[in-house]
Amino acid sequence: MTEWTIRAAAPGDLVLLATLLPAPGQDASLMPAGDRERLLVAARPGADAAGAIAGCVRVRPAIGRDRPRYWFHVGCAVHAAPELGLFHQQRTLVLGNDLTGAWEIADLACDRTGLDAAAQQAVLRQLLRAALAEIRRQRAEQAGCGEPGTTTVFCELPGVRDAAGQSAFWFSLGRHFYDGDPQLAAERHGPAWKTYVAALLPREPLLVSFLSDAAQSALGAPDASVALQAQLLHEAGFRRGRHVTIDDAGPVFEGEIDLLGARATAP
Amino acid sequence: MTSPESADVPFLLRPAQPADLPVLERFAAASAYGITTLPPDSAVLVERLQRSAGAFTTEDAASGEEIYLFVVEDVASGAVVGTSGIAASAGFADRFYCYRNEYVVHASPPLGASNRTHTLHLCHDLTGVTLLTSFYVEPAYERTLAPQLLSRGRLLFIAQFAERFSDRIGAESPGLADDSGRCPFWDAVGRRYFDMDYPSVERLAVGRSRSFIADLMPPSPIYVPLLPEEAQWSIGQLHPVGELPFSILLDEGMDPDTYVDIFDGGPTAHARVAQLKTVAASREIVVAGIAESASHRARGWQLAASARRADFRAVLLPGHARGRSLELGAQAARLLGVQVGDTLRLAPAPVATQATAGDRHD
Repeated sequence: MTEWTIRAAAPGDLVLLATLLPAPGQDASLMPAGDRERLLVAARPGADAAGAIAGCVRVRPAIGRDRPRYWFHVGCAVHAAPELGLFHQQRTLVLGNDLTGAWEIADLACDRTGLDAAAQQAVLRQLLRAALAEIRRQRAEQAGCGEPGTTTVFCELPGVRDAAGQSAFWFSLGRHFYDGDPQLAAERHGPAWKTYVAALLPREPLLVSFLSDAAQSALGAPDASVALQAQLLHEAGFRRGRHVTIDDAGPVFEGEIDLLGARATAP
Repeated sequence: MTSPESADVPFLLRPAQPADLPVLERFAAASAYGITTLPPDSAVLVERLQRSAGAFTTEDAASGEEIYLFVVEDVASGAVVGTSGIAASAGFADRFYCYRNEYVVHASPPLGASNRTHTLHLCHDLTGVTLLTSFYVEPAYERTLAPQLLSRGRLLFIAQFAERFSDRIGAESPGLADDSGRCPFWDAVGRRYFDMDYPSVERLAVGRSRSFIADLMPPSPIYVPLLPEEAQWSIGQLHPVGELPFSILLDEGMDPDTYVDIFDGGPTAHARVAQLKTVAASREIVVAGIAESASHRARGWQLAASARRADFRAVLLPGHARGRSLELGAQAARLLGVQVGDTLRLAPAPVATQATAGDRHD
């Protein structure tokens, strides 16, 4: 199996990176923002020219401190009345900023056309391992400076879409509050669009049973296009937590840095 | 053919008596849908008649738990042709729940978007207000003056004995449901919490307090756009059986748009008592004289009510009295049980011209 060279992305990689990643948004760059954000690329061994990028991953420290980030927390409400023989348990959605301050692994992607399945798996696994190593490295630095730092790491994946790219979850919920095209907004504003659209979404708890059946079953399910990422995150010790993304109810994998990566780093 | 005399005072409003049970049972059976304060259950009706008789006659100060039931008689035949009621304090000793219509506006400048979202908030706003209840009039009398007397006559009672009532008033109206009891609002909202159909929950609500059921509903608001369209459309919509009493309350100036019933989404109208048309225009006058025969027919109608609680009476009289005193016809004086020197509460009756005393003979 090929070992890839993992290195920081360089401006010369941008053309190829743009084919792997969603648009960064108006006036934004794919290149990392701030001192501590990292964009790592997997380069073919020996190659240093453009055309040799097989995948990428991004690490963001202490997210949500400059621009608020939003998720739906999937909770539970029970309506019980023993006298009536009533015991009704159902899921709730509450908009919040729960993961603010955590580490984020984002943009975990690879070349899906040029690589076979085994190679895709290998490059993604290696990128994930490198991302976790980068987080550990930064944490060690922080510890040296006496900063406690958070131990939570999470990674969002896209939720279920149909062949036309439409999300049943968005169709059942989001579109009632923002009547624009979410894909256009995402292309225009980049990841920030979720912060912008959150301002339009319900602030009060919602009962999941008010959503369509398709939306309910999409809750926390990854799109088929990222099945491999979901599998590798699970292997690395991440688990789907109690949060979903606000646009398409994609899963948010969460883990504790000290418990992550044992299997992913095994040979 | 009615005599000219009976046409002058076509209907009499009075407190319901235990002897009215059979006719109330008949009304309750006929109005099986939608009027939970008039259930087709004799034991409940007997108990309500007893409570009502006590409320009209008690010497005690009002506690808020009183209910007052009225019936209207067709003077010509002596038959009881309708009923209406008052509950002194909504949710007495408990909470009175309704959904309040609210609109939240969210904006996202970067997306150039804003939305105005209709939400329903579970609230206790109307706890303690006086409720108008139990309205029913026989179908043959719907186009007569009887409904006007039934509905507005009790407002004179409230105006006369204001210390026994809240200064705010509410009235629930039945929401949309089909003959099988299927209710789009319930199916979209309540059913998500209770997993039972609307007739089942109505049966539960009769047996125990509605607030017991409502306590189980989540406190977070309902985002109306998330409801099926049929349910959205039904919010604040009136079941056709409620149209007649509702139209009278709207004419009185009640606000029909703020609150809806938590079960069926029907409108719960509310107002300040003092701002109701009949209450605001009502005044006390003294009976200056009693004429053997009624004075000549005048245009329009006025409500007149005795100032006594225990044997309260109200009628519609032709004409509009001016000044501080009034000469009554002998029949009106007899029906109201008043003599020269007694006090009456009077208010113009803003009734539609096509509703006349004689229509019932059509």
